[in-house]
Amino acid sequence: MSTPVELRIAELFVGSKGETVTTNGVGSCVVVVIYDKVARMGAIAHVILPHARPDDAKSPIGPDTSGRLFVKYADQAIDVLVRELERRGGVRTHMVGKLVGGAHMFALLESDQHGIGWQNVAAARERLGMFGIPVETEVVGGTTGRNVRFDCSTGIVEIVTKV
Amino acid sequence: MAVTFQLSADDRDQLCELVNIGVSHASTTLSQLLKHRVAISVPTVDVKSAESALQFLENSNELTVAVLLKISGGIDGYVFLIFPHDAVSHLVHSLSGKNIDDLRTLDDFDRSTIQEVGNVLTGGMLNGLSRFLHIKLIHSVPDVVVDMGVAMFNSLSASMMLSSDEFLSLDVAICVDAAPQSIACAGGEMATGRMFLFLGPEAAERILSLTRAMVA
Repeated sequence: MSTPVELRIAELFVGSKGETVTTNGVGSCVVVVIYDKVARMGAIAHVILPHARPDDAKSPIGPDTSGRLFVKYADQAIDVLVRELERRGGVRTHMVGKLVGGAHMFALLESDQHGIGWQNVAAARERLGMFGIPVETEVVGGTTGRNVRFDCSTGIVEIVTKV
Repeated sequence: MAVTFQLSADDRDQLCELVNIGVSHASTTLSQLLKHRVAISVPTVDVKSAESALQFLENSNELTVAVLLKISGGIDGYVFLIFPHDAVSHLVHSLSGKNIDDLRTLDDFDRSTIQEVGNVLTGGMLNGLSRFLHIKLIHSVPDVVVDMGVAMFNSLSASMMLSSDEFLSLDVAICVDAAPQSIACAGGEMATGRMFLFLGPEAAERILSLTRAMVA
């Protein structure tokens, strides 16, 4: 098996057969996975914020000089993931979504439960819903950070917490 | 339109010097509490954005202890302290005599001890800044969290980015039991933590307007 791709924060990745992706330190961020069960291919994004602001509609989507794609907003990232999977032969009705993250790590940052983690998860669910992609699994909320490993061929997502 | 920073070299120097004044007070207070020598590094000023900032601490996937305090009064911002395992062990042992083998086993007493370190450092720094800038600065009760450093740092950064695309980070290393002749952190000290002061554009501009008025 090839070495796992290390996905950085605000980065997204569309996988080929046999590739695995890891992304660490998912706190209030959300990891969005979209997997096409028939084509057996998947894509993943580690997003920071829920919605692109109107003046940020041209937010950099990359690729950067090393060919890596970066999108910080959940809504924009899901648009790119779906588009890229379809470009590679994926079919929207065969796709499922998986969400991980959206933790509420510091009580001090958000006085109620609708903090940034919650907003990120809500934005990702809403955008997937707009594409008609069901959320098959989600491990979201709570107060702990998570590490995520995604197998692009099988769609299996493994989650590790440290506390 | 998103607010972004326009900092000149002079602005950066002023902010660095200001934080130096603050953390000098903080380290003196911590030194009195611990009865150990405490040294601090030269502050680093950095404008952080989603694309650059969040790669920071990326290797800090290990369990660490973070202390977060909200600043209010004359300026709004956050103080974020981060201590790796060795630093927590050393601090807790110095203050209570307890040995900490695993950060996951911290009890309420240990957390309270770490909260107090956060109080002392932040209170010392804000006291220094307050006297220098002639503004009132207060801080919240510290929030102590044990988790992966990168997850905690990113959660705070994301929260800062909700209100502005960029934020200012002033970062210093705090070393307990620094070598006797050293005036700053040289690495290898018994307990090295890091202290960040996070400010949004408005808070940074307010500070700079005060320091510019003093210099003029």
